[in-house]
Amino acid sequence: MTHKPYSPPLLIKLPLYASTVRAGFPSPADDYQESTLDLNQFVVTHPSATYFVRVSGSSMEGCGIYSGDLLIVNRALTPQHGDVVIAAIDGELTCKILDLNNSELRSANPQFPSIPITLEMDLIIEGVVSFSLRQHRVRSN
Amino acid sequence: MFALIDCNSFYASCEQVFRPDLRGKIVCVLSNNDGCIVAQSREAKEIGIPSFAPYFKVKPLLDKHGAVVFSSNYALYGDLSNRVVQTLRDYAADIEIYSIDEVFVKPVDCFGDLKNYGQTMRKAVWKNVRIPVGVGIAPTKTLAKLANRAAKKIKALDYVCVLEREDQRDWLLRRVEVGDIWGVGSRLSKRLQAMGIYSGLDLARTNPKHIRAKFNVCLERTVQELNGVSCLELEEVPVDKKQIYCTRAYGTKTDDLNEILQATSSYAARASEKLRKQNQLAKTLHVFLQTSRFDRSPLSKSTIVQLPYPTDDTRIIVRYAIHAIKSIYEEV
Repeated sequence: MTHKPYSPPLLIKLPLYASTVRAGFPSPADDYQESTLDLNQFVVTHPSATYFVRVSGSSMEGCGIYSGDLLIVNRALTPQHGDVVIAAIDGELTCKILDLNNSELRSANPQFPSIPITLEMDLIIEGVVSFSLRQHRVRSN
Repeated sequence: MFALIDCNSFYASCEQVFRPDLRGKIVCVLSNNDGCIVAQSREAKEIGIPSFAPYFKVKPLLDKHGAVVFSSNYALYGDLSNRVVQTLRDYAADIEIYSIDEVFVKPVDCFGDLKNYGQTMRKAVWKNVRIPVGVGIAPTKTLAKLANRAAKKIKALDYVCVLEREDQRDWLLRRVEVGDIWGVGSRLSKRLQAMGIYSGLDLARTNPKHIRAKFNVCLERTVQELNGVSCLELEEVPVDKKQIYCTRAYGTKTDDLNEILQATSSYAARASEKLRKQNQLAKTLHVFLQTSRFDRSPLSKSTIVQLPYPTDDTRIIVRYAIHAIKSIYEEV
């Protein structure tokens, strides 16, 4: 996984349209702006505790997280049952679902086994994945 | 009250933030050009790696222990330092960024027990940034520095030391050498020792007026501060520098004039940037060139150039710097 520090840039405000846009022609009658949305403010709620991680591998595809996606990881959030988390297991960083009811770390891909959480294991949660980002139009270099 | 929060082995800890596999291991960070050790994890200190040791000298010891060594990554350290500061702002009425890894904080009132306050800040910085810190809390900045030092050295304190009572202060001051007090350098400590002042307590027990007469007002303030009388406030805004230096040592020796001129123009340009950032102008340029300090007979030449008028213009500063270096180069 590659890590990149988050540095808050200048605000870029984009108009937020009040109605959802279906994949057909939007109705002109619906076309008005309600408020502006800044993606950084929306996604990064704790700038000093947030970092980005690039995903590799297919173990979380069932969650809609694919190889090459960007994860927004927030350390300030307290991990809860069901959260997608970045976990350090024996020092190695990995992305898993935290299942506190069954005391295990689950993948979102049947090909990858769950990892039981035991008292003796070397496990640190290194943040909660609050958002993920996928690029659909890949820029050709 | 003042709190001093100081990051443990900062650069080494920074390299461990995204490498949980390296936490608790022997980790070192090297200076520019990988010349010397500038940071060691606690484990590295324990195997006897001294600060500022030349890398080539300690490399065998490091290799023997399977140490992990990093070239310095200042972009990372600066970013993580900002995060530590931002995290601490939530716990501070006022803050002074003292250095890249030290912050003075004016505590807020609502946290009650000061030891608990210190632990809360420590946990917050670890949770948000994964940087381990030590906290010293005391009635003056000088004592907060002392408390911070104790917090790291005395295991039972668990990285948070609060000096609220005089007996606690005296206990610590008795066990500290006068040279280790903030504001007392090696030169001053030699003079003080010649006067029979060996420990921090000895210094605290001196008459401030006598100290002012024999030394200077700064040392007098230190004595006052050691006695719990606060003379130093938080500095809100860093004082503008009166001199700006931009210098580097070369990775490999060179005597190629073109290489030297290229380096000169980039340092002059960088210094000009810093000047503009401070919204100031410069009238005097100091330029110098040295051969290796490790040569048998090292040479050093410098010159002072008066600029035609006070300026912050990179083009002028670079032009004069190059001209000056050329004239020194002939002589060296």
